[in-house]
Amino acid sequence: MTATTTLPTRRKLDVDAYHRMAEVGIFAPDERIELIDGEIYQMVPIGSEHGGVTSSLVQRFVLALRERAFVTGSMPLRLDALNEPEPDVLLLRPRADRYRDALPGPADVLLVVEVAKSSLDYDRTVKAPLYARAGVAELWIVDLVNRRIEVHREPGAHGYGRIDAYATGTLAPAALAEASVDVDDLFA
Amino acid sequence: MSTTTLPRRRKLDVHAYHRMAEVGIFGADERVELIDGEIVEMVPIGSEHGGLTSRLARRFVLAVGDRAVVNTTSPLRVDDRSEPQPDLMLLRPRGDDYMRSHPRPADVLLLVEVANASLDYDRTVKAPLYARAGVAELWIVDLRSRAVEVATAPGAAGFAAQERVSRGAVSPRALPDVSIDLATLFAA
Repeated sequence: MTATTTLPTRRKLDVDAYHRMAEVGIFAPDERIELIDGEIYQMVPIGSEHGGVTSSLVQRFVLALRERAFVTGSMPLRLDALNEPEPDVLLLRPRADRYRDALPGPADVLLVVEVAKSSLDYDRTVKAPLYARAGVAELWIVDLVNRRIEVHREPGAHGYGRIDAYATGTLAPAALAEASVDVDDLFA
Repeated sequence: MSTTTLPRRRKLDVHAYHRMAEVGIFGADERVELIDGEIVEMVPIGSEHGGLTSRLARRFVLAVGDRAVVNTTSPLRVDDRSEPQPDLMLLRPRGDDYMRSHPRPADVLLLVEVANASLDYDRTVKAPLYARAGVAELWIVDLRSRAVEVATAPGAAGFAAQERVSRGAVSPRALPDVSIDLATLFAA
């Protein structure tokens, strides 16, 4: 009666399978999806506030950094064999191929930004540990609900060792002091 | 505090699933099923499960003659999002023996799932799926307590008639003269 139950497990997909599926037309061209822990997820639709904040961050970074970083708001990040999220903003090390030949990996990343409203808990509990384990140096979670930026640093196997939240003032990525962001202005 | 929207898994339909198989995403010997748009790995078959399934198939083949196709291999195309692989099916006779297309629920006279560790899953996930699709009769062979759960009268809410048989014999509704004796079925 109290038999132990083995639930069938979902068949995980690696990044090669995921890309092959895209190549053979399994996904619609405009589908927004990510590969997280070997499973394909539909990304939450982007609201106007999310879109606006993301765009203004990209703009600020581009203006501040020019050629010192590759700034992108639409690039998947190949973290490992089972994970390929698409962060809202990525600051990448300049690379000769301008990231045309291969997707960026964790070592290319100077900063990952996730803008979060309804996905806040998910970004903190699923995405952040994922980025940390892969060795992404710095993650910002732009918290639209509480209007603050959480800065996650010191990545390790168990997550980020240091998390600071900024509700006011200016901050910049550790690797790029010149790319400073005025928090009050961003949320204004 | 804040309501959380969890990203949803991107479901796959049977066309995508078959395309994935065609382009070699699954290993040649992989045992997978599509259940409600998700690819699940089937639990490895133990010797008791394999042996009993073979024994049951042999009895059916000897008893039904040309009145049914005994199939232990084909998946059942339930709908656009589900293609499980039952342990055994008695199918309406068809000239091509289902070589031209997979059986559909209306073709099934009896569907058998042999359950050990998967008993709860078969009861709570598979059975409702088969009932919704209109599979006329389902037997769940419970290896642990040596009983057969017979379910008939399929509908949107599940099988309306369910009976647990642990002694004597069971017969499929569609072939009442075909009698499966339980004592010898379970005898090791």
